[in-house]
Amino acid sequence: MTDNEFTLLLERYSKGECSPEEAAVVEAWFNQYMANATGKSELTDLQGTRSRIWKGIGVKHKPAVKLLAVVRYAAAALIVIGGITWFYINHNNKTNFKPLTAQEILPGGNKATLTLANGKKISLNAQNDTIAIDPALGVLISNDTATGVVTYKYQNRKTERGNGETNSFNTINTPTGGQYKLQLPDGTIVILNALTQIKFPSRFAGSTREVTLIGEAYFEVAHNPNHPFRVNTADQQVAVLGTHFNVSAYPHQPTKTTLTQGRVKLTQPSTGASQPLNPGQQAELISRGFNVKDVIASDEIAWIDGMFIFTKTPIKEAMQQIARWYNIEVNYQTLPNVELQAVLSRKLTLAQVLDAIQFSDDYEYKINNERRLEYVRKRGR
Amino acid sequence: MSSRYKQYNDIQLSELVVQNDTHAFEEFYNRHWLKLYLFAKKRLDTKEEAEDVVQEVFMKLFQKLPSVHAKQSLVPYLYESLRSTMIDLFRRGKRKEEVISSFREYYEKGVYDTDNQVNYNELERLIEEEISSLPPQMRKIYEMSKKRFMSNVEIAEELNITEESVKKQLYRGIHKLRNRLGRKFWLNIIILLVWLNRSL
Repeated sequence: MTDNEFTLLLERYSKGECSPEEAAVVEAWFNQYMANATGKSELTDLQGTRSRIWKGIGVKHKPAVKLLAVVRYAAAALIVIGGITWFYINHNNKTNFKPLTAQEILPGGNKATLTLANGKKISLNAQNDTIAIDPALGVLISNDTATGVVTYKYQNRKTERGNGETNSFNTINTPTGGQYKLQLPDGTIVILNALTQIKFPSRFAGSTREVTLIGEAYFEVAHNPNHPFRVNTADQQVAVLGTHFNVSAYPHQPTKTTLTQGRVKLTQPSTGASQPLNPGQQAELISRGFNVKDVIASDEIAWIDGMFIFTKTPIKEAMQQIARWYNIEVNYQTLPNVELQAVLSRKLTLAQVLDAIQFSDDYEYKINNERRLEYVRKRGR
Repeated sequence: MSSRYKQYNDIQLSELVVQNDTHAFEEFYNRHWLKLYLFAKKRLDTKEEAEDVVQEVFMKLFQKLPSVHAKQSLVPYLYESLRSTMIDLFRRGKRKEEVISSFREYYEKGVYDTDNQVNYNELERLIEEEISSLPPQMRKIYEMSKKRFMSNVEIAEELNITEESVKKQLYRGIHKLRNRLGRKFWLNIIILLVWLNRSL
């Protein structure tokens, strides 16, 4: 081979026109040639070099304008409407939206709606400080958006002893991706997980303190032996004097009650079955009575500390929690039959969570514009 | 630039780069330019030539982005592009005679490894080795910026506590969780994050 042919070979290499064999020889030579180089780099003005090269590349950042949330949503709505219009005008079957990525899906936060006895709805993430005073009941309702706590308090000692009516019920709803804390006038604290509803009187009167729950909540019930506290869910009642426990009662999912402190008694109104529970135990409501097992209670209530803890948790169960927190839908049919082990912060983005729980190299997740997640098997690899 | 990009590993960052996130691209550039520059400089006479090579490699990458779909790290692409850019420059440059005679000599010896993977691994080793030629302090800062998440020093600064106590806290936390989770321990990074959130 002549020098010219060697030059041509290198030229073909850099154009990507070599055979794999030729390429391999060029690469092997290049490595050796570089390895034998003795040139020493001077290390002056690295910052200057860095920014000079960067400018030369000529990448321009799109201006990141910070808009008010409202404006942003309005803009998003306009874009969507515009997109749909464009779609129809063109009669085009291809979708032209940029798919939503898991990276863009952010975790939930403090969000809830309070509905007062008179039907007035208050968005708790918007309105701070005092929300309402009910002079007839002598209860003051205040809200702290920063910490996500709404507090019911008696105005003074006199109103505390008063005998206001009990059938003026308030309701708090958390949406998907929402959580909120509620302090009741008796000092009981309730932490509401996502997609949860609690109904409670604005003041407790009568012999019992009763609330009704759909979804999941953690209760720290203020001790009062004279007025038992009761949590009613679909076909289950938890009766306590003053303890800490978690109730998960989502529709179409098993109702589970976990005790962290004290003692509770569970009853099933339809069968009359009853079940005492000790700390560290979890009762699952079944058609006739309860299944009780020992659990690590702190794992079961990890959500109140801002964590997901999965310990050999079936993926479907874990995904239900993830779906509620990230406001996504999951195509459960596409999930393989695996168990997850993971400790994750609830502040991570969806992508970080999904990458962390990646259970197999054979599967990858996809998420579409309707926030619907599914897993697909990778083809040949 | 938002510091959250620093938290992504190369694969996560590459995914964002592919989606045309220019901030992710800048972080990607910041992480890798120096290695490429130091490597190129070994066989190039002037700083300017080395700068041009690095610039061209990143420019090509940026222009190619719309056609890249791979859900994987862009680093191998970067290294391969550096190699072909340098070879292109060699055959045209001032020292082309020297280059060709080296190539000829190598070719005619007829003993070389034609396994592409081996060649790539060697290239990767050579490029990353250049970092070790940096003075220790500079190397430390570089390595730190490469880490997926915050370093202990940054954590200490952030939390306003000593680095030692960060280490202790993380160790205790991880130990506790490790016992609970058993042997399957591929989540330490996330656990670290969780403990950070907790201690904040």
